[in-house]
Amino acid sequence: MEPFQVASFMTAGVLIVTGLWALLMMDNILKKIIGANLIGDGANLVLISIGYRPGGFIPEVMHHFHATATPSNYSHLLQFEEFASNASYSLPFALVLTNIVIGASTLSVMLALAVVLYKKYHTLSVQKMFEGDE
Amino acid sequence: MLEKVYEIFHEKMKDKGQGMGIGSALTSEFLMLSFLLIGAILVLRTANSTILGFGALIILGGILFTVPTVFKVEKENTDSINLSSFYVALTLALLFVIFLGGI
Amino acid sequence: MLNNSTLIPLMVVLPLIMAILVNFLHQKDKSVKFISIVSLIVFVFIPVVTLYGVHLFSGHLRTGSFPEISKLLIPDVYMGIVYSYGSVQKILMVVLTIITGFTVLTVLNKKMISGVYIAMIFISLASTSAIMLADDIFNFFVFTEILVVAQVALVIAVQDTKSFKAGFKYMIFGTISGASILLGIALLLGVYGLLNITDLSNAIKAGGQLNPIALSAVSLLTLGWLYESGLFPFHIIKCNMYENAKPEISALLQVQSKFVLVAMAIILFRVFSGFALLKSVMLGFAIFTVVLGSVMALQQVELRKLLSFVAVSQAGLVAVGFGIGTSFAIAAGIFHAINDVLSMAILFFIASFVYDKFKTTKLEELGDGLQVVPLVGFVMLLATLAISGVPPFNSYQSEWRLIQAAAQAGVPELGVLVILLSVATFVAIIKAFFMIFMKPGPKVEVNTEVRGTMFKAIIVILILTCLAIGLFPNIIYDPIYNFVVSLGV
Repeated sequence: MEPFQVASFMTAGVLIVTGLWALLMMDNILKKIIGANLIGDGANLVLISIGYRPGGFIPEVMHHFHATATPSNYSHLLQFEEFASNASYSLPFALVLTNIVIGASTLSVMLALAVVLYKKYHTLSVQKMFEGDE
Repeated sequence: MLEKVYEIFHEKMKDKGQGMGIGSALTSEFLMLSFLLIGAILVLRTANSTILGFGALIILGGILFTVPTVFKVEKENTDSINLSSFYVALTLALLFVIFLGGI
Repeated sequence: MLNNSTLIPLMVVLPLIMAILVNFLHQKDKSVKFISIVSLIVFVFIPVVTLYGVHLFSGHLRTGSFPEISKLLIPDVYMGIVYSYGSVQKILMVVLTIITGFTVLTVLNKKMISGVYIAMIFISLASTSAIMLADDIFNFFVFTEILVVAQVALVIAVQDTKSFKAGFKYMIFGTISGASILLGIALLLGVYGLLNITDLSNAIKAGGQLNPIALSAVSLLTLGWLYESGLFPFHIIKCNMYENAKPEISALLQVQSKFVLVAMAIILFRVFSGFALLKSVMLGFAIFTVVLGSVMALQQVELRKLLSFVAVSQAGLVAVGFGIGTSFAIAAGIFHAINDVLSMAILFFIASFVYDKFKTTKLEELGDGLQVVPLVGFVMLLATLAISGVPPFNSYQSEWRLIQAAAQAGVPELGVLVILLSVATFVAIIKAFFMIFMKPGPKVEVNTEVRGTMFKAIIVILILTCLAIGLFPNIIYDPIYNFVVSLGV
């Protein structure tokens, strides 16, 4: 593995651990939500780092490759060796885009709930909001 | 001895409803104790039968000192966010240890 | 196997389209009502007429993978997203759509009809359908996240502080578990380069022993499974959700949770086939949930909370079937899931009726119900027998099969546990039945406007279904068993 990829994975690990710690340990409701978001960001970074190729280029088949892939047969793409050996892995981009959208929707719902709970309790402390449950 | 157990339950369930409440609490106590015994047998049967026998007897003895168990179980199962977070963190760690360690 | 059925994705796409339409028509009550009822009939109709098969999105066929260049472990891969529809999916989809239909009918029966609310129900239906149909693990993950958001929306629609807090807690832990599932998928993608479940299971079989990265993926995916199913340690959060939603919505939520449990467990078994430690771990968590759920249920003094804990412990029992691991046990577990959602749905619908009629669900404050609504009381008694595994009802057939499977697998102690759970469930619910319908209670104000004809019709249909399945179990059980055997887990 390339040093850049290793550093990328370690950054993702730091993000996930920080997010998990914030989510579980912090008392402020907004800090918990930020922690939740950090975990999602860390997971996205892991996904992207999997597709890293040193010196690779964007996996788009340019017009001069004359790609005419039909669903039944991809074997003629083998002739584009330069593309096959140098393009970075394209699948994680699609997964991360979807995950960013999911993260945005869950973040918006959590923030809306935080606003409603603040209006009711006039505090951001989770301990005070949820103490009645014990 | 059964009267003592009933008195303990009667005292602890003052606000929860007498009569039927105590009946169901006694049922849950019985279920909890059976689970502890069955769980011990399930885990210990992989070892040899002497350990199984002694282990079951030790658990049975331990149970007699910790009756009633259901009130402690109820306190551990409240929907407090801190308690749930603790158990989630514990579970995640346990899963990693079991799968990566390999039992 | 390569027929490209177009009806299969309709089971996901059509509820989503109807959700958008109904949301758009919010506050136009008559249109919302008409479109919802027509949609529900179509949603039940589609799974019945769809033939078994797969659907290949964009027509991408199974093709060669060039293993020398791609370093994939298998020679053939699916190039696109695949949805597969078999006998188990058909039975689960029919049960899910029927109970969703009943829930929407009870919601439409109230004075205030909200297009947004019905849209959320349709979105949760679409997500659960996709989770059961998907043969692509990332597609499955996306819909689990959508399901969490839809379920939270349904709970917070009660607009009560407790429901906001329940929804917030559910979302917090949902984020952790969603990230776990995604990380598990990312690690599997990194090691094997595949997302399709069929291909992943072939690759893992070909790859020999699981390396540590794949084992980390197993633990992360198992945590996600525990959350989605509502097993220990997430059982309290699930109970919180069931308790704080409107009871007719809880009837729907528990169906979705149990079916997601079944679907995700099948996916885990297919992907990590032959990994015995996974089954033991699942069994451990399942047993914990069974015991904790029933112990807590016996302590409750409020009907909805009691039913929530019973629902959670029954989900644990379904997971016990998966944990035992033999084909017989897994088939018994899936069969129990189907039987149990039907009986729990009856009980939750009865809770909804009691809430509407008597304005409270606290057992101390209720009483003398049989004088007011004898039919509902009688059906609740039958439902108690049904859920406790008393013949001739359906849970008897599934619990008996579970006990037999446990004995055959060499763990007869689990049979004892199943019987104890049945007794505990019976005690808990019969106590509730007595306190609502039979005990001479304090004067509880009765809402005479609520006739509950729709409720009564629904619970009678459901209890008759339970009886029919109990008398003729092989109609449902044999396809399930054949499916499980063909999976080869």
